[in-house]
Amino acid sequence: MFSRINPGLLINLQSTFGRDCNPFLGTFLQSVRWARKPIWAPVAKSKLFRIPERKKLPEDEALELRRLYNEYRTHCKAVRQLICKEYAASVEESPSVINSRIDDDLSQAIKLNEEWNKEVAAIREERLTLEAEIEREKNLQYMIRAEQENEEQIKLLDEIVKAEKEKSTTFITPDNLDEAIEFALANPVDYNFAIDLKGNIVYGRKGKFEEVLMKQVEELNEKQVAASSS
Amino acid sequence: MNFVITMPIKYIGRTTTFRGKSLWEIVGNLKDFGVGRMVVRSNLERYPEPSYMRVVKVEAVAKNEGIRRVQVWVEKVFRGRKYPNPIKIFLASYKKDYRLIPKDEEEVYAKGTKPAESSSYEDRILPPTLPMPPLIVELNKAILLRKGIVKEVETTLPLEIQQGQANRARVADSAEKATVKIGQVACERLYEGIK
Repeated sequence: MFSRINPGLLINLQSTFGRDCNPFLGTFLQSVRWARKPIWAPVAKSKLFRIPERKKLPEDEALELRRLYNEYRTHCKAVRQLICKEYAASVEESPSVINSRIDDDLSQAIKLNEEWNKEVAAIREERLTLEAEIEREKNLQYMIRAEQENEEQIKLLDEIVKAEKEKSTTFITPDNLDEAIEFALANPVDYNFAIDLKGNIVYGRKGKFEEVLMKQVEELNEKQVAASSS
Repeated sequence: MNFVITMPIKYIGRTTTFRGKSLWEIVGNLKDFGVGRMVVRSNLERYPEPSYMRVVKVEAVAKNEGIRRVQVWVEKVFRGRKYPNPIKIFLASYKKDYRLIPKDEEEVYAKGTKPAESSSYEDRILPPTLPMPPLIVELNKAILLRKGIVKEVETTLPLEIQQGQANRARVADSAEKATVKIGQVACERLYEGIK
């Protein structure tokens, strides 16, 4: 509600609109602008289809009103033109002054821009040198590692070649094919084996546990002999 | 037997100052859309000089641009003066204020029926200055006082008039005498008993 209150207006409202606006009965504060009902409230049902009569003003009165309004508007326009002119005169400057100001602004801006460019260039230079250093270091490390890996690879290959060469002495060739056949026939290989509950293994299809046991005994004896002699 | 039933006309709503038909109602019923015919706005018949329009070109508009509207280019004569260029009527075309002048009455209408002795249209000459509003005078005085300048404060306000097709008034030259007196009361009756 409105905190601003005009007692004279309230009394006036009371006399105009009745006791609803009486400052001494109930509501003390009243909306000043919309005294009776809010402006957004719809038209009352009883007034919905009311057609107000067209007001008729006496001709001389209308003429006088029109004259007053016309003169008021003319006056207002003249005042506005005066104020506009005064303002325009107060801010008016010669073109040379404006141009020189523009030039000054431009040169100042260019100077500032160059300064900034220098600063940025210094920062960029520093960053680029640092980056180049890091890049060179990285490349060096990479090259060293690659060389090492290469050497290791060569070494590995050499070993493989060496091993293969050693192995090649035992290869079966057409020259020693007969010997190999004879050797194979003379030394048959038997991959079969048997195992007992104690974990003793007997190789060969014709192997015997007794032989294994004997061997174990011999080994034990040898160990004992070795232990006593030392 | 023929029964002609005429329903009584009952007007609803507020009355207007308009008199006549909308422009489309006139133009749409005429041959060649009324090109060359004379149409008047009854609104402008209050002036002593004749005001009328001659239709130059008519274009119908799409429905969504207003179902009562039509685009009409007219040669306009306002208070006996012809506009240099045709004007387009579109936004005001819906207004039921247009009237078609029959062909045989055109000549008479263009001459103007009312006597021209009351014509104040051409010879409205205004004074070159008005009295300065008192508040501005006081303001200027205060400004000068603050600046310490001793000078007479301007008490007249120069008057400039924007002239146009509809406004023929002008500011008086130094030799001329103003015909319009600013501040002259038009109705003395209203000011009776006021001191």
